[in-house]
Amino acid sequence: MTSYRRMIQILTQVLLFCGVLGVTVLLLFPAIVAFGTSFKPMGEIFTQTPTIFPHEPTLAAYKKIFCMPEFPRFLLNSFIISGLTALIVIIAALLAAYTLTFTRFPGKKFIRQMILMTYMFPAVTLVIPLYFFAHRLDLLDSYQILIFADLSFALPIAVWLMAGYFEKFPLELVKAARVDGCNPLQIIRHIIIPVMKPGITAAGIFSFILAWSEYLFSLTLTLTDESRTISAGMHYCLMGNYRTDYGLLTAASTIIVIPVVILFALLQKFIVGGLTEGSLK
Amino acid sequence: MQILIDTDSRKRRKAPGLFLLPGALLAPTLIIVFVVLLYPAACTIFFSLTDKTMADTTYSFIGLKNYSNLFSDPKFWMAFQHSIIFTLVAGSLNILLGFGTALLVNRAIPFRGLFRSLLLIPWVMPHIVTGLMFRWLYNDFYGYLNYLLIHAGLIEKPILFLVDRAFVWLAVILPTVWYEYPFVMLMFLAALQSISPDLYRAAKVDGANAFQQFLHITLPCLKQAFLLNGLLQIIFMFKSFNLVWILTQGGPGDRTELLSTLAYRHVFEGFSTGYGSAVATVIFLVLFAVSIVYLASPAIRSEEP
Repeated sequence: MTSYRRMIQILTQVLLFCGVLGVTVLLLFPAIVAFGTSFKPMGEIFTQTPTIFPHEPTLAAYKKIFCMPEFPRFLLNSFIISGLTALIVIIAALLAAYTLTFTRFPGKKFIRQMILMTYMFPAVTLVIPLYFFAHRLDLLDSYQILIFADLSFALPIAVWLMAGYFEKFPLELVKAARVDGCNPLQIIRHIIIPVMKPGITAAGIFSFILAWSEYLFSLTLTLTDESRTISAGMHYCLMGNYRTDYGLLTAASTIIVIPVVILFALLQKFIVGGLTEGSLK
Repeated sequence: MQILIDTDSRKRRKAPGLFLLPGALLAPTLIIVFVVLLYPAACTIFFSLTDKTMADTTYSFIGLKNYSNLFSDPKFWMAFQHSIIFTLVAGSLNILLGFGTALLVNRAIPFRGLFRSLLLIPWVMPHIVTGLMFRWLYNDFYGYLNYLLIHAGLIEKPILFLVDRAFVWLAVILPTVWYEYPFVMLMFLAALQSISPDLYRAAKVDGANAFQQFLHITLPCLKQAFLLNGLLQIIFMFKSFNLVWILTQGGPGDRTELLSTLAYRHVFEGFSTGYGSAVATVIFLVLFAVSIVYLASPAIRSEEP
């Protein structure tokens, strides 16, 4: 009887595993195909009978990308803009989330809701005046305006996420530190950050990824390759001169996506964990 | 007496601190929110009441004329209709797929962490990558989709997914769901993990089977998560722009024109900033109304501490 039940259990496990595997492969099929194609020579890309993986793998497409003058520039721009955005977001959101969680003051609920509400602002609505401001202040085609624009979506979500994590933090600890005469900055530095590091990191990574992927602002607020991020860069290259160069497309996609995926995979535990409970275990 | 005076003075000393400190700590966030969100949104609403164009720096106030033109423009109503249908269809699919995958990777299976990471990949991919990748997959000569469909015997001639009016919506919604479901999955995973295992243990003791447990524990505990995901999906999908712009730019003709692409086209391609701003304001107001309804509903109030 027990062995029969055990058999059923194992069988369910195996079926479940195969199900998850199947769903994952199916969902990732486009990415798998793109990854495989990035290593194909021209002849294998432009064929009526495409395969998933190349017969004769080559790095030709990658070499071509790094010989293009624009592409490394786009990568650097994206890296600087996303990094600075994440940095500003972490600092501002840390202070705001602390205040919104651990202090009492009139209008707190209103501010919390306002920050939540800003999440519904459409980028299309914001980009119109941002374009004219940038034009007037001579900031079109600069890092500053793109970082500024990216803050519009990265900061509210980070504040919201961090405030959520902080709610799991025992208020008594903060109160005890206050009684001991710690100011908020000391409390944040010595109590909140050590305990809530995964949640804070997750919020920072989240902002980085959002800024890294940003498309509309970069498309609109840049004029030349000088400050263009990868999104707008790829838009102009791959919908323009290199329109049908699928080797270039898939190789560029791989280069852009791989670092983010690795970063994310390493921190994924903290992001899911950070969303649930502030790691206080 | 002495004690009474002491508490009084402490209260007085504390009171201004209670205002000042939150103000100082919130200042960076509030200033940024004002400069990059509230002020630009107000400007767009203001522009929508003017005859501003891309080139002219001088423009005049024309009241609600842009709106009266808008409301008699069939193109606007068509885009509005498209936006609503797109929101409902893509949003529902996102929640379905996100919820399904969350349930799958919440089970105890080997390599669960790896599967979670893998399933999140589409979400970390920049929209431009997703958009260009699907453009290529849809290609009639070298695309995988047509190849697979022809070899499966489902079609005889390749489908021009981005040109064929019958298929273009499918071609836009497919990648949209592809990039958005992991976010929903992440939210549901978080909610699933916050359900106390004691509930399931108690249910097992009471002899409830897996389906009953799902129906009577999992679903009720996820009510909040469904509401939140529902709201977020309405917001994300109604304002979505990137994928449609990369894939079709609203075409063929205006078959996939959304309010967001219509606004962008008027401001940055048609140069009629005032008119485009009016469209952008409509998107904003619709989302504002949705958010107000949600915030005013008792469900969220119970969530507030």
